[in-house]
Amino acid sequence: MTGGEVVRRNNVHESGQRHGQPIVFAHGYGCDQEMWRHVTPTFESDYRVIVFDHVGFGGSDLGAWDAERYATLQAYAADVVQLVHEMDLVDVVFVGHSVASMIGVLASLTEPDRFANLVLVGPSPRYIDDPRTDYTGGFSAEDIDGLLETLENNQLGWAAAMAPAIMGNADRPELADELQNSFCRTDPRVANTFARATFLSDNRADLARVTTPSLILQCAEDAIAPEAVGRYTHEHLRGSQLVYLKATGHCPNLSAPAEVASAIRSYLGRT
Amino acid sequence: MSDRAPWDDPSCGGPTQSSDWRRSWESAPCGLVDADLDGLIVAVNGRACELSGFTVPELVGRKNWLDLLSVGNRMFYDTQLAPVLLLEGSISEIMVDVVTRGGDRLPALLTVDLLRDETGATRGTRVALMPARDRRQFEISLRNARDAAERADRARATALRRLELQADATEALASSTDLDTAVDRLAQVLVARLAGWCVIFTVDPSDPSAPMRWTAAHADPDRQVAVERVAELWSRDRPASNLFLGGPTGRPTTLMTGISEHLIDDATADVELRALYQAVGVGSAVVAPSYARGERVAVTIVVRGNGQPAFVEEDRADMAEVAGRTGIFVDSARRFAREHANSMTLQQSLLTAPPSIPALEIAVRYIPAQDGAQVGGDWYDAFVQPDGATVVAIGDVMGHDIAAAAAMGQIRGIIRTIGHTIAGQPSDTLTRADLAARGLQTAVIASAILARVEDPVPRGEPGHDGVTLRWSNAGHPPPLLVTTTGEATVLARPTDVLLGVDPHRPRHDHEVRLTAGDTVVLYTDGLIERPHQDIDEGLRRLADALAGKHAVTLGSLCDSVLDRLGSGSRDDIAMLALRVR
Repeated sequence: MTGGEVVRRNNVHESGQRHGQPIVFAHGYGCDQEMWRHVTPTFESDYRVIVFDHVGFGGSDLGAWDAERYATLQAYAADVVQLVHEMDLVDVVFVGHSVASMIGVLASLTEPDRFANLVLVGPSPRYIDDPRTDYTGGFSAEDIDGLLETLENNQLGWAAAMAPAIMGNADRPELADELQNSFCRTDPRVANTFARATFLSDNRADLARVTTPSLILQCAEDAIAPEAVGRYTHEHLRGSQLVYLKATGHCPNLSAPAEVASAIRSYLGRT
Repeated sequence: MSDRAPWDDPSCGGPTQSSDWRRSWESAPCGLVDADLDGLIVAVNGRACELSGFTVPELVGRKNWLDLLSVGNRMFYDTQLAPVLLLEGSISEIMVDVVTRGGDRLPALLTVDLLRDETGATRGTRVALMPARDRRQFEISLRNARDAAERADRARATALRRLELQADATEALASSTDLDTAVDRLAQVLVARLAGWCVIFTVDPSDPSAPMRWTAAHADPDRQVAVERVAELWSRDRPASNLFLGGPTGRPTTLMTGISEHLIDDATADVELRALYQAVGVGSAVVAPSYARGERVAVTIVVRGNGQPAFVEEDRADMAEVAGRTGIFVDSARRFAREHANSMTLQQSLLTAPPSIPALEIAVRYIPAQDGAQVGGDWYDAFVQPDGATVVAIGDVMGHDIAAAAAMGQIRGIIRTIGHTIAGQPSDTLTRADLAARGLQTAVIASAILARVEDPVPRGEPGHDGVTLRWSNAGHPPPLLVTTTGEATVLARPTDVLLGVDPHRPRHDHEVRLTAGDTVVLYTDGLIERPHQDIDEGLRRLADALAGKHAVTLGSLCDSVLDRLGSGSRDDIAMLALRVR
């Protein structure tokens, strides 16, 4: 059941009840499964808890990363579907943070029968404003360029990894272990590609097709997914519940893990 | 917050715990900013005010510290830095832009620590900002070095691809002397390496009324039929009305990009052609004419659809080079074909049908070299001498061109003339012919067998007992005998020197008695020579092919042997078989 290809590729870790309902936690842009470490323990008493890294991040198989394939969110969603198949999961609660919430939306559209609930933490179906449809995502295209530039400007730690490229061989060998292991350290190229996939995405049309019941957790003062965006998502996602958290910022799973866990628990009806 | 921490003092001085503390806070070599849990600034030092351009009242209690950063920085912080800060307690040396009060961007290094109270609970953050123009420069250099390395890599790959195109094109053109075959292969190379589809026209300037020949290829086999139809319509139309072929002769290789439907509609009246353009895809093209001696001999059109990257100047340059090679090839292939046709005509005209002789049945065959590339100097002959003896000959002049064919005509004529005039022994006839050729300054080196069939007692008269075959061999492969039992034997006898080497060296005659039904086969070396195979092996195979052929007609005997051994010969083959009636 486990130990398969996807399990290795996505660095899948399991805890909790072997025969419990599966609850899959997906990290968002910028980090890895460690983001859930203060949230998951709450669920281990009665759920089969599954965490993983998207390809290119954390302990995933970096050799499986491919700039072309992972240029769209659909590829990450396909990986989730593969994971669900390989581990033979049914009745899945999918908890996605940030962009992973849209990855969950796309995965549930591919395999609606496998997913029981979606929990979307700080979701945004589109980050860039769209004046044509009067949509406010919170960002302009120039802002996204600014993010990409900031990524470009912060690759000092990657000098060693880039040395082969500078020496004239752009096909870089496998990244050094210490870099793979450093927490939240992502290859600038992977970060750049995922940033584009994330912030240039537009999943508004997908929302209306979702049939899986969902919970939206909206933080206060979340610059990445502002309140208006959370409301938009709620209005366009049939059967969704919108819950406002006291937590501020974009990472309540780290800054307010207890609040996040209890919101999810009360939504799922097991407090 | 009920228990106001020291840093909550809203003065520029920040913590007021002690004057020492206050001094170090102010004199720290970097901008310091303290913020509460929501990011609201609660204290700044003078350096922070200095580098941001804001005053204390503008910052403290009013601004979120993240507002000091650009939006891009802020997104980076929210997605990548905040998780690390929350999990690890600090982040350090992050390259950011501080957006100053005047709107300028100041490169700075950002370090953030979580501030905790006595119980360990998080109270807020302390932010340090260090101006870092040099560090920015370093990052830029690093990035430039990487970009340059990647550009160099791409340039290398491109250069390699371009060389491979030229190599493949040259190989295709050199693969055959046949014009159509080679141009077909060139078209395949062009769609494999460069184009979505291509059409190559060849034009014969010496025959302007001849239809243009074309070959067409599409990278997608499903669209091959469509592209062939395009080429056919173009060739019918003649160049003038054509989108790509118009324009005066003499124009250079041309790059056409951004070919819009509009342009196509303007240039193309033909509805079918317009639909075909849709099917095969027309977005950009290179039209490359090939010239030889100032005349246009070919036009190569490579096209990419709108879905493919448009051709660029480098592609134009590459196609100009391919077209140059194509011109040289087409010209030489045409000249070769003409010369070859001339040689063939000459040779065929020199080889005459054998005479009909009551006592003997004679069959002759001549087949040109299999790849059509070579014209041989092989010949056969049969005539009757003044004394009534029949003479048969086979020979092979060295060389494989029109000169060899002409030389063959001369030596054959000399032997025939002497043989017809003087009824000598074969060795004698060959010596006289060799001397005559020397005297007439015919510089020919040839191998030959001259054989005389002597019939001392005419057929039907008492005492008739078959015939004598007497022959002399000037360096030629030996004759074979097939007896009436079907047994095939090589008539191996010592051979004399080649004709044209030394006319004074002695020549010898050999003889064999033949009875009715016996068959003798003369041939040239194309029948027995194969690469990497010795002559004895070739002779053995010929004997095998002839064995048992005593009962078939002489014509069938020749054909079956040529079928079995002659196919694929790189040389031409002459063959003469005689059978005693």
